[in-house]
This record gives sequence, C-alpha cells and structure tokens, in this order.
Amino acid sequence: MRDVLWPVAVVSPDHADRIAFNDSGAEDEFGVAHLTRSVRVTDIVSGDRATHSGASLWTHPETGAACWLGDRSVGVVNFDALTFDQVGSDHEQIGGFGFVSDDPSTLLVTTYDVDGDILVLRGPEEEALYRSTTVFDFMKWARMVAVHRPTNTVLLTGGRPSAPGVSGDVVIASRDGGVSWEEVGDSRGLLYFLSDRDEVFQQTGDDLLMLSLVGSASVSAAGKAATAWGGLKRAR
Amino acid sequence: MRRIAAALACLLLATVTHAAGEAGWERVFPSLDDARAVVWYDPPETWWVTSWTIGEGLALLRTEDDGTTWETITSGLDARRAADIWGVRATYAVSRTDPSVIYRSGGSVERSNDGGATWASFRGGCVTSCGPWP
Repeated sequence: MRDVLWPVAVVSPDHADRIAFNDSGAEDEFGVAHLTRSVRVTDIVSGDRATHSGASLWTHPETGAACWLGDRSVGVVNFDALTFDQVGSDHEQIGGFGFVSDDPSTLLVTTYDVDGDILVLRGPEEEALYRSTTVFDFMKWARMVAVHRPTNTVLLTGGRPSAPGVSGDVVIASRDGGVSWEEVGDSRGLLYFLSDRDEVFQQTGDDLLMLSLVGSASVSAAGKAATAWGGLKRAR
Repeated sequence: MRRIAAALACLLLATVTHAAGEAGWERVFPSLDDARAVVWYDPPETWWVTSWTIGEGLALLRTEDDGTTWETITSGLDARRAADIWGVRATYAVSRTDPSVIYRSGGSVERSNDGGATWASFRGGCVTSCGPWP
C-alpha cells in the first residue's frame, strides 16, 4: 500500500465557487478562495503555524468538510467566512486527527505531552479527553484516531515500534474505551465513519478498506453510548 | 522429519501472522484496482471515487449501485506522470450543489463547468496572485 493521498484542492460543500487549495502551481500557496468576480483569497496559514509544505487538506467524503492537518494545528476550512477554524490551540507535536462515529462534525486531534511520551486526545475544548502511555507498547507514534461510540471502540493508526524485521504502520484498537489495546492490521491511511454504516473505513493510497465493528466479543449495548464516551475519559 | 516439521511450523506461523496483519479489513470496491480517494459519498449507494491507471492517469468514477457498476465521469489527469511520484498530487473535487462543476489539480488548479468535458485553468497556473477566474 502507498501512503494516503492528500488532495491539493477541495470545494465547499455549499458553494461551487469556493475552494481551498494547497501548493497550486508555481507559487507555493495555501488558502481559501472565492472564485466569482475578482478572486478573493484568505491565507489560512500565517505566523508560526504550520508551514505550507507541512499542511494537508482532506475532504470528509460524506459531510464535505475540508479538514486541514498542519505541523502544529488542526482544523476545518470555514468556506462561509473564508477562514480556518482551528481545533484547540497550537501544539508542539501533532500526530493527526479523527472522528467520532455519530458526530462527524467534531474533529479529534492526536498530540503528545511536552516530553512526547504520553498520547493526548483532544477535542474542541482545551482540556484533554484522554491520555495514554500504553499505546506506545504498540506504536512509536500515533497519527489518526477513530471513536466508534456504539461499540466503545477506539482505533489509532501509527508507526510500529522499531524492532528487527518489523516495519510499517499499524492500526490498533481498544474495545474498552482506551484501557487495553490490540493490533488489528496494517495502516497507511486515515480513518472515518459514514452515517448509515457500522464499519470504520480506512482510505489508503490505493484502496478503500472497511472493518466491521459490530458483533465483536466486547460490543457494548447501543443504549450505553454515553457510558462509552465516559470510558474514553477514564485516563484523564 | 524435524526439518519438515519446523518448516511447516514456520509456514503456519507466517500464514497466521499475515492473517493477523489484515485482521478483518475488507476492500470496499473489489472491482477497482486502485481506488485513490472517495471524493463524495452520497448515501445510500452513490460514490464518486478517483482511480489511477498507469498511462491513463487519474479518473473520476461514479457508481450509483454501491460499486457494482461504474461510470467514468472524466479521466486523463496527469497521465504523463509516474503514479508513484506525481500521481499523489493529483485529485478531483466535485461540487455538491452543482455536480457539473468539477475541479482538478495536478500541479495547477483547473475547473470544469460541464461535468469534466472541458477545463479552464487560472491564468499563469496560480490562484492568489492571478485572476480573476476566466
């Protein structure tokens, strides 16, 4: 599998004339543009935020939200205001982002503490949703995250720990809200959910994969969705 | 005999390890050899997907029966480039309010107002310092 692809231009789900783009043409540009009449452009990246070369755009296939992953910040393009809605504040180290199954508008961010030895999962609020050191038994760094609330399943992608004969990226899953983890396959992509499906989807560089999350041994009752999210907060 | 048993054990272990590596992941579109990205999922059964073919470049495909049959909307993006190097920079974007408006980017950004039949690019191939849109 090749690495997942990041498009260089995405279009607003609500305005055919509004796009966000990255690295277009000879000029190294990154911004959001309103293409009618005279071109109006807002530079999304400024100051000491992510560098142009480190920023990537990705469109959620169902919602059309344009997610932006930079070196130090994560967010969503605001096509109405022609701006960028950052999730939380800038971070020293960002792993990636992800979604909750029943709330595609909420973007999660994987980051680390100052020493880089604790995974911290953040949402729109400043306080951490989840902290873990145990994930580093399975990966040396984390990238994308997906939380399937009906089954209390949390999935993370990241790099395998360095060891002879071991390489590549891995997907790990916790079926108890982030307490214990198991490997569930190779990874070269990002994870997301679709509203009418029970699977988690993984877009790799050359394939779309899906993994069923229902019917596993530790599936929670559908009515315990709120409890499942509480489980994710366990390690705060 | 011990060598044969050891070899069989190694083969079994390799098979089990490989199976564990895949661990239940299934291909969503077995009929597509190279599904690069889902541009738009319009439930329950309509998908817009990009697919790469060596020599033919990146194509935009649509299915309205959950992947059983596919219609090529437009194709040929970055056909002259090597997939492993420049193919990763190419993509299509479809307007959900007007699907006849399609953007494509393979170094510069271009727009089609007729569903991919014809394309126009920004003057000079850039966005912010050029324009207005033709």
